[in-house]
Amino acid sequence: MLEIDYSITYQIAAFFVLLFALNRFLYKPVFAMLEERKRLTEGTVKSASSMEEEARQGLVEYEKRLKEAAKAAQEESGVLRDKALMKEAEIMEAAREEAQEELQKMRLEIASDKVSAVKDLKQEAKGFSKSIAEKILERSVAAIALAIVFLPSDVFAEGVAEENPYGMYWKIFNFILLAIGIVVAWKKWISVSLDARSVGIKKAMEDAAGAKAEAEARLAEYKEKLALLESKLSEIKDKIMAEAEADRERIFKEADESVRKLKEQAGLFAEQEVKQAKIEIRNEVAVIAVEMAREILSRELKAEDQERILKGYTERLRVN
Amino acid sequence: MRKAAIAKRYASALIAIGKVDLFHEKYRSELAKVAAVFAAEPTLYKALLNPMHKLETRLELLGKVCEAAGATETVKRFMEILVEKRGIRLLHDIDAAYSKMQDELSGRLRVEVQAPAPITDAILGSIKDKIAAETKKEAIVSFSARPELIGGMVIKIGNTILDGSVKTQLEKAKEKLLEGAF
Repeated sequence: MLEIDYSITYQIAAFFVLLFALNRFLYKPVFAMLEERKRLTEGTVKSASSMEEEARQGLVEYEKRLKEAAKAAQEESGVLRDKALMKEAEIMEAAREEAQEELQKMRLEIASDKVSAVKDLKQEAKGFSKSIAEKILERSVAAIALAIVFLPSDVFAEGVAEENPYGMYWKIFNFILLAIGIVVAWKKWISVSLDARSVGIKKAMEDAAGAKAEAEARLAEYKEKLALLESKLSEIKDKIMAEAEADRERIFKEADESVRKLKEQAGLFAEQEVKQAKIEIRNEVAVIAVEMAREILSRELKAEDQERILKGYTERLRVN
Repeated sequence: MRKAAIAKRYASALIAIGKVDLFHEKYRSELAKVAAVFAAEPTLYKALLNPMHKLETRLELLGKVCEAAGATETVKRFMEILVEKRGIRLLHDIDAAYSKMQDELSGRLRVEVQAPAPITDAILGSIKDKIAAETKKEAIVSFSARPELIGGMVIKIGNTILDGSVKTQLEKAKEKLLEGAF
């Protein structure tokens, strides 16, 4: 039969002593250790997430800059094209299309890289979360096991006090034994267990730090990639502008050349026509002159002239 | 061209026979006479080329023509071959080809002098002597009037043409004017 007597005072005292001892030597160190672990692991995860966010924002920013640069290059190129001759518009259009294709190709590459990077970072995040979950799970199991160790001792102490009127001495004795047991357990088993767990936490922290380092390396690599893409973008823009400028110059040059050829051709035509006119005039003069000579000869050639001609021709005659 | 070549071949055949029997000069005159008959009576060509008539009948007709022209048996046979081979239509060309060959064989040159007005015998004689001296052949000179020549003359020796006409000189002058020589 349970009775309330003076022994309750000892029970209360024993309880507070035990509570103090447990709080001082067990709960506080363990909670501190857990807090530290949480701080370290969650900090790493947060850091990894931060890196991912940074990469994502970088991509968004880069995409924006890419579009702006492409747009600016196209606008400038458009201005140059507007200045060119209309008949050369098709060539310019081809150049613009080529540039557009290059840009489109680059955009696709960037989009692909972005998807790949996000995928990689997501994989990393998954790994982190999985690792953290596993570590938390291990901790939960250890806490439950620790609680089970303490339960039988309390029950045993309560049962002995009810059977024995001199239980108070036994309870003191039991408490001393419990305290001794706790100290022994602390020094031997719990201490070893906490040490082992401490090593595990250290390892987890190191793993998290390694993962973070990997994420940092990945981020750095991605930033480098972004920097390269930036230079590529600049290169594309330069290329577009150089081509547009070259096309414009070529168009003007071709126009100049066409005008020159046209003038030259017109000059040749004029020269040819003048030459032809001269020939026609000369022909007409020749025809008129010969016709007049024929009339004169027909009128003026006398018999003596004919005889003189025949004699002279006969004298000069050569058959072979 | 083909016509002239065939005629030349027939003429060559006849003159080859004449060279052998040394009657080539005679054959020339006989062939010329027969050709003159055909020229005077062109219907003879049609009759001799008409297949509606029997060959014997046509040859009989030809024999009468040859007899009238005083042709020897060789020339007559030559004419028969022409009828049989339907080469009679080339008779005029064959006669011309034969004359040319005969002149060459006999060392003669046929010279045609063309002028706007008749030329004096003295000048024709000078031309004949000059050509004979130049070619070492006998020149047989004939004259043709061509008023369009205006003045001067044209001398044709076989295929050779020596043009000293005023007309040609005017043409040359015209060409030079057209070429811009003046």
